[in-house]
Amino acid sequence: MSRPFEIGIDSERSHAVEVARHGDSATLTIDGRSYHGSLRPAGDGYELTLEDRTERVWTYVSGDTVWLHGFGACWAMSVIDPEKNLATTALSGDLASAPMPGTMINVGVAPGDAVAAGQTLVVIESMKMQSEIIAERDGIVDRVFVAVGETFDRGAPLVSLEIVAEPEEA
Amino acid sequence: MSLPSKVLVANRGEIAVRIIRTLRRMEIESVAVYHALDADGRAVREADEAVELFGETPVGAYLDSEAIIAACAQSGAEAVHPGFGFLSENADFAEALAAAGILFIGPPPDAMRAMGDKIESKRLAKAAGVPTLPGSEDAVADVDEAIAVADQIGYPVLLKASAGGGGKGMRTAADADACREAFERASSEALASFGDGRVFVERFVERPRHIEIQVLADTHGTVLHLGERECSIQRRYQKVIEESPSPAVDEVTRERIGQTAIDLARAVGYTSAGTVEMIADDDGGFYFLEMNTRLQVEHPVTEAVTGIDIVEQQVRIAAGEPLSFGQDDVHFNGHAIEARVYAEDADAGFLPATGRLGVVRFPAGDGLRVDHGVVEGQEVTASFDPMIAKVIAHAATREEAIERLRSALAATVLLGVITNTSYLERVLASPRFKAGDTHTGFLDEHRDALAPRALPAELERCLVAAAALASPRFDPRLAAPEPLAEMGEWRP
Repeated sequence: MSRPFEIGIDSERSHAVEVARHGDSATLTIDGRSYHGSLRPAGDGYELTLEDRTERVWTYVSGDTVWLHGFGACWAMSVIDPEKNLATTALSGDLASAPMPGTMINVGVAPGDAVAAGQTLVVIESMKMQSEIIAERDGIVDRVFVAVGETFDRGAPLVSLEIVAEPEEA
Repeated sequence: MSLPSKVLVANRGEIAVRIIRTLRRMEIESVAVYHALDADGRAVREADEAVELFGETPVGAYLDSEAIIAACAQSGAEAVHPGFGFLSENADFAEALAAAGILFIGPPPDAMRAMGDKIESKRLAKAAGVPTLPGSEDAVADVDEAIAVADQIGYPVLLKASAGGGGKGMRTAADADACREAFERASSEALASFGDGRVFVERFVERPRHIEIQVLADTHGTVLHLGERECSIQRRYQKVIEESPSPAVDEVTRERIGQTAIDLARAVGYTSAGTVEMIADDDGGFYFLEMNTRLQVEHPVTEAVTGIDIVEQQVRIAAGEPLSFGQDDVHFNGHAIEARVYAEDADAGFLPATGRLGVVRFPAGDGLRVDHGVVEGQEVTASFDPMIAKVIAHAATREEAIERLRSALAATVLLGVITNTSYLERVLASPRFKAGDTHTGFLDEHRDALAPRALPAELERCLVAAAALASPRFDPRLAAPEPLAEMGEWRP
């Protein structure tokens, strides 16, 4: 039996959830306890029912993020596959990704270049401020993902370093 | 002189839409200009016609004055409304339009230039009798002069870059030693940011309110004020919540500061709509900050309480019409508050957010106005300013306007991008805001009190359940692992 998916709200707390559907309603097991619930179209949105509580909501699913408006606010919830999450954890320092959305201002390296830890890889601009993205370790540049003038979102890959094989002996 | 029959709107987003709507009501044809990223935007849909602009960057497209003048020729537009930002305070652009025989809907270029420099505009304000903060008459030559001026006016002092803006090149100092360090840092930062290291010194006002006066001036010598707006709720020197009237301004004060704004506008030969920004201290003192020679983002609160369409007046003034009303005809009715909805994570240091707006629903109702420029399915990118919408509530009293705006923000549905709607609602709900106890450091001072409240367990469970029922991940019919990655926009 695989581990249940988890759902996190605004990337803080997460809850283990399983869903057993019967018709248009379902039994939800949340953190080990069972609840009866449904999500049915209503107007141009949906009506959520959980036990004796009912609320009009709007939802928008984008990949593994579920956006929802209800209870007087907008929420972003992440569906997390605990197994996949473990499998894809990258070796820190292999990839420099964008800390915030922005525009590429300067690319100081090209694939094949040797770089040292602390060296500036690229310069980005966000919120009218320029920031340098630096190499976290020594290595060889593998790819540069964004060209000067292009824009990117938060978390977008900017520069990757060639993967270094783990040394055979310590 | 008659009204132009066709006007090009040299802007984008909500302000372009807002200007186009007034033009339509005046039976003037509108021309939108757009960068490819905005091709499906609301401004392009609402305008009578649209001309594409090209640029090395998306912002660059909207700053290309030659291309905009060419777009006027192509579309037959007789006038340009610049909105705010972009080319709105560019005197060279206004002159280039005039040279091409196109009307610029804004003030005369000389007035724009005079008000564009902080030291020069302060000198003009002082000469016009507008109260200014004690400080150096000009940029200080060196650190010793900075300290001499500071000693004379008394600490704390503020060191400000002449070319500054957005808080860059600005430092406070509580004593002479701190002044020495502040001078070095302010001037080097100003040099790095603006290529102009000139710094001046003035008295620092603690916990100031930001209060500004809207003026209207025609080409026949009539200058009026439309009352004040308080815009003290700011983050990173950018306004977030604005209101009119200010809880700190009574009728007598309004007339007094209104008159000083009128005097300044007259002194610089101002025409069109403009705003004189001031800071107010705890003792009822008002001091000149700067004059903005354009429409302001927060103009709707003034429109709500006066019933005057400021964009319409700008068009009429530019066409040479005299104002059709006098100061005694301007009445202030009730209270209006505006909240700026930004694509940003307010709880993570106001970091800008991006993404695709999958669901967009704005509330409507009595005393409610929403100015926005987004359509469902639109990408919010890092290429432009992160403001998505302005929600404005108008009611008989400040208390009712606060509650109306809170409800409107709670009913605002923007899914797919993190926005600040909940944060704005918390600011409006805070006891200090309700008490009108506001100053420009309000959001920093009350940071902890404005943090999100812990969710009740039952509500959190409802949200988790809704997410599980909405997500295809939990649907066994869709359990095949690979196609999930392709399911980006799937909706239940």
